[in-house]
Amino acid sequence: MRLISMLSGGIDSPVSVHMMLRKGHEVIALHMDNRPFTDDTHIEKVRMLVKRLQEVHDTEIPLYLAPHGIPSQETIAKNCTRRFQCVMCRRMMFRTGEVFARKMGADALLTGESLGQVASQTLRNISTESSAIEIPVVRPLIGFDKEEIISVAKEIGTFDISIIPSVCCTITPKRPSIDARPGDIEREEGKIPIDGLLKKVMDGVMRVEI
Amino acid sequence: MKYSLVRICKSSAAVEAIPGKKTKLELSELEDRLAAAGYMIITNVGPIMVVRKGEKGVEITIYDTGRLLLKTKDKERAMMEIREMERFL
Repeated sequence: MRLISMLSGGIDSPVSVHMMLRKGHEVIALHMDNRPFTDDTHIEKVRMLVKRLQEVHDTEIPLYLAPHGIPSQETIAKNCTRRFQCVMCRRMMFRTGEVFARKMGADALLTGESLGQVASQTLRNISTESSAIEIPVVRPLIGFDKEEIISVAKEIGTFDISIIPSVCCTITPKRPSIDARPGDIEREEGKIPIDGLLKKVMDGVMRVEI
Repeated sequence: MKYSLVRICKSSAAVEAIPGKKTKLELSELEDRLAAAGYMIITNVGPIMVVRKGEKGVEITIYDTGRLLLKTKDKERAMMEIREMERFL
């Protein structure tokens, strides 16, 4: 399979890439650039992570960046209900991943999601986020607990890169929804030009040299 | 309004400052004042605004609760930026 990894720069997504590379699948990394709601460090971290994973598996992993903070996060925050920010953010990420996957001839998206780990990863929210797309999503870490993920990350040498200090997402609401229903989210999305945003994002996708 | 500096968690690369008293900022008005004072408004989404003074200034996230997040690890530089901004808050 050819997979599009939604690579964040955190601990989990590089481990999910490792899991699928060791099974012989091909991975292309896509980082959603969340600036100005994070900092530049994330870009350097994903470059270092891809470099490390390439060394571990002796294979090429092309890395691409897609603009996300502006326009998507900004538009959602300006127009939609605050508590749905994270679910709507992830739906835009998935949509971007899906369009990018079609363009790259990929079969599925690959994420480091782990059930219940954060607000956007409750069963309801994962389901609502996935309902924005048709392409399959591979989640090799879904039943892992954090300690298990950290243990693999240390083993493959990505942990120390993932924990390099960086600014966490600053646009996260104080009380994010943990039980977002597709109907509620679709109503919220009716307030913003999803197709126009997606076009802007895809126009801004760029390859990054490792 | 007077601010105090709070270093946020070890895993972060930013410095946080909080106002001395409970407040609610009107960011659309603040945007005009900061722009007039030479700040570049990177984005203003309602409850959050991101600004920077000059090309090499520290990027500052301003929350409507008055909380400031400065994207630097340098406490002294952060404090200088805060002192400069305090008069507008």
